[in-house]
Amino acid sequence: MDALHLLARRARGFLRPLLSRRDAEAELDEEMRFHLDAEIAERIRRGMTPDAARTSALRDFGGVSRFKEECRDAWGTRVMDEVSRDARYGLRALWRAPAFTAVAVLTIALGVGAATTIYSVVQAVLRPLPFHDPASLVAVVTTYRGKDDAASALDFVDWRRESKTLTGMAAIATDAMTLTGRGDPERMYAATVSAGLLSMLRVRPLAGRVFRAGEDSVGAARIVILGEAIWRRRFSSDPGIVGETVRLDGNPYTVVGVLPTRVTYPAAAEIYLPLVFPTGDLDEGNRGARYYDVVARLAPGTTIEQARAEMRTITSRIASAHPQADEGVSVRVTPLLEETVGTFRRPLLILLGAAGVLLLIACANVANLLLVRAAGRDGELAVRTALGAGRARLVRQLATEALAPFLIGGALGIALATLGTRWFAVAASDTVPRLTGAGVDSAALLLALVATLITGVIFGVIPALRFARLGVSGALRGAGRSSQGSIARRRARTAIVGSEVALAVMLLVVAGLVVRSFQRLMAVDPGFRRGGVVTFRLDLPNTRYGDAAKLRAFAAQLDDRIRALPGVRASGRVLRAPLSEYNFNVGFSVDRWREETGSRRPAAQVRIASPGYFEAMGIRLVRGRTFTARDDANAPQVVVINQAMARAHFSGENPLGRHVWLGWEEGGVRRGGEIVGVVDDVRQFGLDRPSAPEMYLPYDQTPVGPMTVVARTSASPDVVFAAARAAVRELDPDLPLFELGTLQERFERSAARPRLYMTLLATFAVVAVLLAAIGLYGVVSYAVRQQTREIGIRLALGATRSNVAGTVVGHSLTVTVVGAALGLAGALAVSHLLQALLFGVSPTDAWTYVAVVGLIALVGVVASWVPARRATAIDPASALREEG
Amino acid sequence: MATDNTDVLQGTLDMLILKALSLEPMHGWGISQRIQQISRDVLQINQGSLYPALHRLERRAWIDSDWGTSENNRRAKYYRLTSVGKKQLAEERASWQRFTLAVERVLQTT
Repeated sequence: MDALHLLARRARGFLRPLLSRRDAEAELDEEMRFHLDAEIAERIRRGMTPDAARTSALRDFGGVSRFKEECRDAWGTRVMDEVSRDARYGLRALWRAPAFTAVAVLTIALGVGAATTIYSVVQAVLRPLPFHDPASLVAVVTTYRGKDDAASALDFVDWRRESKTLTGMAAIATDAMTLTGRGDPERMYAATVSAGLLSMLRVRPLAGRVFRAGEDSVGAARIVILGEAIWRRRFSSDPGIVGETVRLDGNPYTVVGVLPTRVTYPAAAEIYLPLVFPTGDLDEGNRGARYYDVVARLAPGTTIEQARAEMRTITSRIASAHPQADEGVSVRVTPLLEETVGTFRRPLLILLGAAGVLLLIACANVANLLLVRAAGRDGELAVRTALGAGRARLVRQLATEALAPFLIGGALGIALATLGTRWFAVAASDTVPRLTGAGVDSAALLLALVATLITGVIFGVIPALRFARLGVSGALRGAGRSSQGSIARRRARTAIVGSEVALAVMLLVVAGLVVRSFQRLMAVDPGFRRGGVVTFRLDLPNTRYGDAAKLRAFAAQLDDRIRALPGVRASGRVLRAPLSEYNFNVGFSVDRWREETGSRRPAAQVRIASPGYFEAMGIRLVRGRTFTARDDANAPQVVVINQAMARAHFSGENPLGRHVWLGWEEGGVRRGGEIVGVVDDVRQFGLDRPSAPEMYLPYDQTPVGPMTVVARTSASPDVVFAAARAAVRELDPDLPLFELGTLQERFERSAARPRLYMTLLATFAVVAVLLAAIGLYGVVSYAVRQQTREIGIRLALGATRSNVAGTVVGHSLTVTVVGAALGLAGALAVSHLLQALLFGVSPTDAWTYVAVVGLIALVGVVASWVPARRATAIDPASALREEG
Repeated sequence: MATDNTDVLQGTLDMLILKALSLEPMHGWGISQRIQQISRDVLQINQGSLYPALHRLERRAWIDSDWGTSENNRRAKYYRLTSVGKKQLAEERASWQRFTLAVERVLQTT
C-alpha cells in the first residue's frame, strides 16, 4: 500500500470515532452483543442448558463498561470526552446549588465589571493627548502670588521672543460669537488662537487648511476654521464650505478649513479664529490685563526642568522691569496633559483604588464560597475515590467545577464593564473631560479576569490537590467531622472573611466621608434662593450696540418684556450669574483713588446688576438699599458690596456712605462710587469656595453687552423660554438666547462632580458590605453545621439556647471586630489621600468612623442571626444520634 | 492510555490476532475461538483485552474492519489484515523468535 493510502486509512481510523461518536458507540455495543450471543451459542452447543450458558458467559465476559472504556481509550477520544463530561458535571453541580452559583457569579461579575469600568475611564481621561509628540506639549501659566492667573498679551509676546527652550508658543483666548444668516442665530464658543497653534499641534484638517503664519497680524483677512460638529450640524458636512463666507457677530469671515472633533483644543471650541491682539493689549499700560492661556512645545533636546528654569528667569526679569504690573508674578510650566486633566487624576485614582478593593473583596468572597463548598464535599469525594474514580480525574473535575462560575461571572463582568463604561461616558460627560468615545480597556479587562481566575485556581483547585494528597482513608475518616484539613480550612476562611470585612470597612469609611462631605456641601447656603428661577444669556454685539445709550435702551425694553413673561414675579439682569466661569477681579481704593503698585492694592470681584436682580435671585439685603431705577446714567455713581467686602475692608465700621474707586476707567470716568447697600455673600464660584470680597455696579451706570437674565417665575421653564425667545426676537431677530436653564440645574451642575464621586464610592461600599455580609454568613452558618454535634452535647449538658445563640453571634462578631479594627487602621492610613475629595469634613472625622464601626457590627450580628437561630433549634437527641 | 502493564503479553496478543487474521478475515469472537483452538485451549483470550486490542490495531491501520454477515445470519464486524499489518506480522514474528530463542538460551545455561 502506498504511503498516501496508508495515511488516508490512518486518518479514517483516527477520525471516525471522533467525528461520529454516536455511530462508533452503537457499533461497539452491537459488536459486544454479537460476541456474547456467539459465546452463549457455543456453550449450548457444548451441552450447557441455555440458562447456564447465558449466566456463565455473562460472568466470563466481565465488566463491559470497563473494556468499552478501554476501547474508547484506543480511539483516543477519552480526554475530550472527559473534559466535556467534567464541564457538564460542573454545570450540573452549579445548577444543584443555585444560591452558591448566583452569589459567586454575581460577585465575580460585579468585581470585574466595576474594576474594568473605572480603569477604562481612567485610561480614557489620562490617555496621551491626540497630538503629535504629546509628551513635549506644555502649558505656560502665569502665577500671581502663588495663584494661577491668565497671561497678559505683553508677557506672552516677551516670552515668545526670549524663550529658547520652548517653540511654537501660542496664546489662546475663548470668546463667544454669534453665527447668523443660516437658520436661527446661534451662539458658539470661538477659540481665538495664535496662527501657529494648530500647526504646532500638527492637527490635520478634515477639509481646507489650518492657519498660516502671519494670519494673526493686525489687518489680516477675516478667516475662520469650523469645528467638525458645527460643520456637520449647520453646514451638512459640505466640504465646499471652504472658501465660502459665514457671518459671525455680523461680520463676514472666510472659511479656510474644518477641524475634526478628535483634535479639538481647547475642548470647548466650536470654531477657531486667528488671535489678533487688540492694539490696547500691547500698550505697556495693559501688561496687567491677563486673559490668555499659553501653550508651547519643548524644543528638541530640552527637558521641562530646563524650560521651567528659563521661563522663571525671563518672567522675573520682566517683573522687575515692570513692577507696577508684574510684581508678584511668576510662571509655571506644566505638561499639557497634566494641565488638562490634572485635577481629575486624584479623584479618579481614588475611584480606581476603590474599584480595585471591590475586586479584591469579590475574589475573597468567591474564595470563601469555594472553600465552604470544598469542605462540604470531602465525604462525597472520598466515597467516589473508594468506588474507583481516578484521582487525577477527580482533581480535574473539581477544577472545572471551581472555574465554571469564574467563566460565567467573567463573561457577565465583560457585559457589565461595557455597559458601565458607556454609562459613565454619558453620565459624566459634563463632569469629567475626555470621555467621548471611551471604551472598555482590554488590558484592564484581562487583568480583572486573570485576577479572579487566579483566585479560582488558588481556592478551587488547590484544595482539590490537597484532597488528592490527603488520600481516601483520611478523607473518609474526616468526612463530616473536624479533621486536620477542615480546621486549616476554617482558619483560612476566617482569615479571608476578616480581610473582607477590613476592606469593606475601608470602603465604608471612604464612602461615609464623601457622603458626609456632600451633605455639608448641600447644606451650604449659596446666598440665593434657587427654586423657581430661570436664567438665560444674551450678548449684545459691539457691532450693533457700540455705545452706552443703545445698550441702555435695549436693556430697558428687555426688562419690560421679561416682566411680562408668563408667571414672572421678579426679574433682573447680571454680568454674570453665580456658579459660572466668570472672574472679574479689579483693584480698588477706598474713599479716594490712589496710584499704587499692583501688589499693594486690594482687589474685589466686580459684577454688574440691574435693579431687579437681587430680588429675583433672593439675595438678602443686610443694610442700606439695592439699586433702583433712579441709579441711572445721570445720577451719582453708587455701588453695593457684599458682607465679605464689608468685613475685609470696613471691619467694624459702617461702610454705607463711604466710597470705593476701581482701577477701571471708561470714557474718562472712573468706575466706583458711594456704597449704598450691603448684601449677603453669594457662593459665586462654587458651593465649596468661600465668597470673596465683591461689589455690584448698577447696569445703567456701567452698561455692557453680555448679560444673564434671571426671572423668578411660577410657570414651567420651557414655557418661559419659548416666550422669552419670541420676545427677544421681536427686539432683535439676530440675537440668540443661550445657556438656557434653571438656577436649580446650575446649582446641581456645580455639585455634579462630588455627586458623581459620592454615587460611585457609596455604591462600591454598599456592594462591599453586602459581599462581606455574605462571607460572614457563609462562615458562621457552616461553623454551626459542623458543630451540630458539639452544640447538641452542650444543650444536653444544660446550656441554654441563648448561650448557644450568643456563642454563634459572638463568633461572627469576633471576626467582624478584628476585621473592622484592621479596616479602620487601613482607612486612617490612606485617609489623607482623600483630602482633595472632601469639603467641610476632616479625613479623620470621628463620627464617620464611629458610624462605620456601628454599621459593620450590625452587619456582623445580622449575618449571624439566621445561623444562630438554626443553632438554637438543634434537637440534642437527634444531633447526638447523627454521625454517632 | 492503557493501564495494562504486561507489555510483552500485550505485544503477544497483537501478534496472535494478526496471525489469526492472516488466515482469513474474522469477527472478534471468531478470533478468540481460533486462537483457543490452535493453541489447544492453552491460550484463553479475554474479551476485555481482545476488543481494545482490535480497536488499537485498527487505529494503527494494521487491520481493517467491515460489517458482514455471520454463519448464523447475524450482522457482525469482520476484521482483516492490511498489507501494513502483514509486514508488521512478519516483523513481530521475527522479533518473537529472537526473543524466545534468547530466553531459551538463558534457561539452558545452568
